Amino acid sequence: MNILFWNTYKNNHKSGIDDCLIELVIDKRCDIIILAEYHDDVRYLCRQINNISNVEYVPIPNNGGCEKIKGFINKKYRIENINEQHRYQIIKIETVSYKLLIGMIHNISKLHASDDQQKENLRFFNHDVCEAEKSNKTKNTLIIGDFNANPFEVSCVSADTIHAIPYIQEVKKKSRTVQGREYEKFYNPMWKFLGMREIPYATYYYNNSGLINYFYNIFDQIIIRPQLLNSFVDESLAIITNTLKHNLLTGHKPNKEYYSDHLPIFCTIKEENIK
Amino acid sequence: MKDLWNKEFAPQSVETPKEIIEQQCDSLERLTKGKITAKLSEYDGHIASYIKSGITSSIGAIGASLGDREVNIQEDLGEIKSDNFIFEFFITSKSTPNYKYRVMFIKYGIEFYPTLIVLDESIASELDVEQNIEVASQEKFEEILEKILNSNKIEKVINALLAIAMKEEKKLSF
Repeated sequence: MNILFWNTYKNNHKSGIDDCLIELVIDKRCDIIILAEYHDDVRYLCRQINNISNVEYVPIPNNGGCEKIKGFINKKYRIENINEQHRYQIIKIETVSYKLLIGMIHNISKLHASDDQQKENLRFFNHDVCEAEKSNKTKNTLIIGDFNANPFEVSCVSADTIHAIPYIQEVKKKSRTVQGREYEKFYNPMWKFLGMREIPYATYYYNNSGLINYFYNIFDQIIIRPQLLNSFVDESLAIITNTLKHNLLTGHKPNKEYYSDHLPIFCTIKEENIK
Repeated sequence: MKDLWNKEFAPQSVETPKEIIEQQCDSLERLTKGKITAKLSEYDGHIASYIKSGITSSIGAIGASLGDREVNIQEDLGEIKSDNFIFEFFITSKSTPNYKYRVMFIKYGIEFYPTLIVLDESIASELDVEQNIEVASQEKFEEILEKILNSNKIEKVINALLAIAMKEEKKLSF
């Protein structure tokens, strides 16, 4: 199962973000495509892809509760809409051999909110994910989206938010008890991109004038529960810098003038390893 | 000895936020002929604590004027924190029982008011209010609740769920 996420930044029509998406979906054989800030009709995009693809895609069901995420999915999957909030949505994929929960988020931007507000959203999200896991009796959970925070920030690491840790040995312990309350962990493989000497340095560039400036940020992330460690293909995890015909970068940075201020991210899940 | 109680007692006639919402849950079920369900469930998570700006909108006058300050609910309702009630109010449907769209959280102490409402971001934006609203009385609570229930956002979600219910009914009728 190939999963793609991209914050398309209000669909810059100069270059045609749809062309890039169509190329990516077909080239990467994507099964699930999740988009943030995609302002066009995803059903139209779906039809365009269906006209030239061997795979038939359908929009991810949405009842209007979540307005920040859109997407489409290979029609072969049976999906159920579990939870919708303004900034996130949780869906369940169920086959004869496994259940998989996918949480999709576009968290509030640092430009409009404090770190505490970002943390608050992720805390609600995590609570809803845990509730969905409980009611659907599965911990096979993958979260993907624009967290608007780096992997090392409190809002990503804190036990009372999404508790996403980069160390497999620690994540395998599954949960941690803090002051009498148990917090389950996620594995965050995105840390491997920090400090890369080669492009892509990150998924988002922002040069501020403050004392602390990270320049390159990994706001777009994929995290998984330890139950999916054997299914997650580490080497598949990628920050995508180009499609067949389009270079999404200008120099070292995402080319927001022509495409988006974010780069897409991609990963593969081996379905046969999901228990 | 004469009666030293110089008062006549009468039970408080105030309705709790929980009772008020539960009545609206019943109304929605009646209005949609049982297809759509609104529920109020106890919530065991932490619901609000961050810096917020003052309420400036017209509807904002319903809530207390909070100004710019840190809202730490544990402290705001701190004197009665051990007796706080926290609920989440959400919409689901008979044909999608596994689905949830949460409209808001409410939090109050043993005196019921003030009640804190933590509203869905898009409804807050549509009504031009802050996400966190503290209401001082039952009257104010009912006033803001009416606006929330009649928001375009809730209408959109309910209509989408009704469409699913209709499709399910058609499937069953074949």
